[in-house]
Amino acid sequence: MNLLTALYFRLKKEWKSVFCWLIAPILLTVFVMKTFGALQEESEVPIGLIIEDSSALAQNLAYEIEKNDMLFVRYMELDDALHKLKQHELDSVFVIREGYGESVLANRRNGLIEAYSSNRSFAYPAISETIMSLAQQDISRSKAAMVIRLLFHEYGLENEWDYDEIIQKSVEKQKNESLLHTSFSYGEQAGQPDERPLELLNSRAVWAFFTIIAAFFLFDWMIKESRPSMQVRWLYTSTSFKSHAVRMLGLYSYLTILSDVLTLFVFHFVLQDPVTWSFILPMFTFRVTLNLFAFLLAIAYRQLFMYYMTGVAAALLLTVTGGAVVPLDALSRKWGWVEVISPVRSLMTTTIPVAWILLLFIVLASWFVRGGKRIA
Amino acid sequence: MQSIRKILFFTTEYLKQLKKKRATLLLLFLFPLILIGLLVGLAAGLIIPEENSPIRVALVDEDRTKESKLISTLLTETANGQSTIEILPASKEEAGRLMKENEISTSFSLPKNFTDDLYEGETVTIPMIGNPSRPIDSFIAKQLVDSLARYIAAAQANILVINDYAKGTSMTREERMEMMFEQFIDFTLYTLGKDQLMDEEVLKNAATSSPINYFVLSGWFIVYSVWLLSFYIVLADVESKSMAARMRLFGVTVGQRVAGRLLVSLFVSSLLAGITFFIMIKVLQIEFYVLDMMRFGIFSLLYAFILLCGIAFIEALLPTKKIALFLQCTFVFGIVLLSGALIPTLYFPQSFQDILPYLFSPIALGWMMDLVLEGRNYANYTSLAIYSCIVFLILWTSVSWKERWSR
Repeated sequence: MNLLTALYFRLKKEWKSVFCWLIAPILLTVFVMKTFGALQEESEVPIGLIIEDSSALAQNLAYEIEKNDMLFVRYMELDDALHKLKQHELDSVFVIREGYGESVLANRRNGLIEAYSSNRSFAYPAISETIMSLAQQDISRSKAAMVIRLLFHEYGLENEWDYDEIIQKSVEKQKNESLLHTSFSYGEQAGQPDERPLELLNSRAVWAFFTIIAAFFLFDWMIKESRPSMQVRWLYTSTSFKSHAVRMLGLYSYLTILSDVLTLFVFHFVLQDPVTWSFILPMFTFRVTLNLFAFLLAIAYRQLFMYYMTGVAAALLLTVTGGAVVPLDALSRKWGWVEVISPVRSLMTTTIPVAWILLLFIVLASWFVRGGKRIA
Repeated sequence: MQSIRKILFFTTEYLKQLKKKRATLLLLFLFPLILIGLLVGLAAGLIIPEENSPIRVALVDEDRTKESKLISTLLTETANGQSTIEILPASKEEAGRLMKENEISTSFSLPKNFTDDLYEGETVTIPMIGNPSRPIDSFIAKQLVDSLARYIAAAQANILVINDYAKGTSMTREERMEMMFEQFIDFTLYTLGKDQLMDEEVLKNAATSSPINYFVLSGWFIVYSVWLLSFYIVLADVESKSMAARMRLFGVTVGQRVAGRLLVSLFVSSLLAGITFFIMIKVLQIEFYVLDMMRFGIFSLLYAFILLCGIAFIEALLPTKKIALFLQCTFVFGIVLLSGALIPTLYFPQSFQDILPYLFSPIALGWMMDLVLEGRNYANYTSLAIYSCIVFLILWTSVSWKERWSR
């Protein structure tokens, strides 16, 4: 009975802080994902655009470029734009050259657009591709008109040839019958097609990061209760400190798993990250691994503050090696062992960190069995 | 005078305290380096493509007509000219096997009736299957095929228009089909030659402003910030309340101790950062004169001072150490993120751009970049100096207020 009272007193005194750190990772994950998502939608690449040609086609092209969500278009003089590009205030500069309209009508396409980039233009390849495809549309239509003219010439229908009508038809055709699509999925097991093959920030990784920190902040009782001044008191109780500690570990694991259930609901309903049954077991094992890790590390520490610091450091290292910040394509090809090392990686790929769990349980068992000495 | 003497006393005390924590010190020194090295390595691995390992994509031709064969040959050949992507024609089973063996990143297929549907103007969907263990590669491949599809869709609309008009002439059906095939080839070739449309030019104002130098300097900036934070945190006072009360009786104020911690962490991390910077300059072979060094030093010290004042301010405000520590980390992360060391400030949302010139970390990093990468030979410290005065005053008042309250 007095064991339960010990647990009860602990929680009675600290329930606010415990509750806070159980909830904090969930709230922070939602906050980060929401703000980051909003920022990502809002971010635009500034480019300079110079229109040397006054034809309607050139104006139209400029309008189409401006309509693109990804771009923030600034109209300016070439000298000014190049200066700004050198100052890295613009990502790249595009010039619609004089004679653009005429060349399109005459079906010539060499060097219609001039593109300037600097060696720090990180978005340039994507942007130049976009602009090129827009211009290519114009030219391709004009080519079709030329082909039809030849055709009509052959069959003596020259008077019926109408350039604008053909262009109009082609525009309509492309718009009305969206003719060619791609669909994307990861293998057959995924079932539904995944339209977002790449996310820069993964909600699970963000959650893992905050959860690791929170776990260390939660398990600080271990250090508080193994202080030398406290150790003396355990000599006079009927149970040993170790069994008390293991009971506390059980209690905290129970609480954290409750918070994990809440997390799953939040993932599913707030973040629209579909939670499948296959995700639950990896999440559970991740939690067990993490709790054991924080618990066992706490044995080795005497100072609270250093323990907290270690928590933050561990969170950073594990999430980075887990491929949370930068996807690990390039790395895992070269060093496969990174995946084994980080339990976050297991969480991301929904596998079970067997090596971690085994090792941690062995350390826990050996700590429990060994006499009064501290490990490490 | 008395208080300055006390600050000096605590400065030396804290230095002694640091010396005692040798293992921690080594860890503090190494941890940010390892972390940033890892991150930079990863990022570089992404941005700088490996020359001898292009993204391999399998193309499955399920239609097997004259046109689809032509398209797959054309795609294979154009892709072979590039270093980024390699397209291999394969059967469906073969593609599945290659995917399992992690040999390819993505496979896409030209579905049955591909050609017929194209001619008739039916909607065609090109299915792509990504390799789940290579999300980035799959993403890039998807982008490439998407833009390809956009080009073909545009060309296709035109072929259909030609077809419509040809129906109006006295052509026979065979002749028309023959012509359509010719047009098909013509337009495909024309589309693939789209690069002629643009004259491209890369401006290089200084050889030193290469992306690698940029990332290395950003990495240094992040490491410096992390050092400042971690030294300040490690020097935390660990003594009990009764000890603190005794200290107070001796006339030691919180402010004096904070000042001591601030000076020690500023000094130690700047020393480390200075050495690292010197090595960095030598390795990257950037010409840097004594005057530049002085300017750079002043900027880094001002930045460090403002950052430390912010960190100390958070601690002075919050009673609980756990939350303070958490907020301090978040604060430093936010400052580093806003400085543009992780993502260049150019790519921030437009609504942010107006605020940026008023934030201290983008100013500091901007000047550092200008000095090191662009070889700028003048400097303006006014704004940073004003900021450091302001944060110092805020810190000072908040600490003295706290003292009065706790009494």
